[in-house]
Amino acid sequence: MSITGRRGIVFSFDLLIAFIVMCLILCLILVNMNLRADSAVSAQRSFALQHAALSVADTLVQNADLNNPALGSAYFGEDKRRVFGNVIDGTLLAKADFAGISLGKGIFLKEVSLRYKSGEYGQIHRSPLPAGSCTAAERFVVVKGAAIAKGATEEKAILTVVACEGGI
Amino acid sequence: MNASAFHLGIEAVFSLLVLALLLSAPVPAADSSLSRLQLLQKQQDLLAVWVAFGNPDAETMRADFVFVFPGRAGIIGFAGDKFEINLPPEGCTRSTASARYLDGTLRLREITLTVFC
Repeated sequence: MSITGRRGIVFSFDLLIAFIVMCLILCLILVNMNLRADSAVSAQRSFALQHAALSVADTLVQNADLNNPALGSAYFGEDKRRVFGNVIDGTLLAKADFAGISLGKGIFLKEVSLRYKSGEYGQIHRSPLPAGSCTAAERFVVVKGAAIAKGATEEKAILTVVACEGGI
Repeated sequence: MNASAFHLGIEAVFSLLVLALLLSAPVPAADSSLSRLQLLQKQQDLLAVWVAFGNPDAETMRADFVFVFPGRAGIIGFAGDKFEINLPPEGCTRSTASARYLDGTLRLREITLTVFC
């Protein structure tokens, strides 16, 4: 009786510790999964914002669309019959209407601007909608034919596209 | 004899070891940002403009670099020369991009652009 009792106690302690440790491990796994899920949701939002800004900037810099310059304002060289990537047609970009661009649920285009190497700043679009968190994509371009420095036909600039959450 | 009740069995020791392993395991930081892509795009933009507008000189490239990456360190390799812009901090990560093109005399040229941190 006494031997059985003692053995039982020893066994119970081991089991108890193992059980507590197992519960702790399960608890840690659940906490970890929760943290990962939270960070994944946050990263997904941030990724969507960055993706939207990068996509708009890329399409502006690489494509030319004379009918809808918001989808591409790259310079089209008539002599070579091709679009010049990273060369912005300033006149075309000035005509672009970004208000109608939809970047997905809860994301909108807050600002499109050019910061010239000469220090001048040109705002192409600015949305009046209230914004949450924002992200900016920058591209280095050469702007042709815009209202740039007097006498110059082209000027280097940074094209900035800002995408924000919100807009409701 | 009663003290034997506090002995740990092999399963308890094993469980404690597993717990200690789990607690000490490093959690790798997930990089879900597109900032590296953005950096690479800006590097490619610089290279594309330098190549497209032909025969870039060192001063123009240096000025463009400072304009696009203000305050950052970098190295530009061009026509066999390398010139540094600012001093890179110790242990800084780097991103390198290069472009090859044919110049006016149809000679193959290469521009290498390295940006630190």
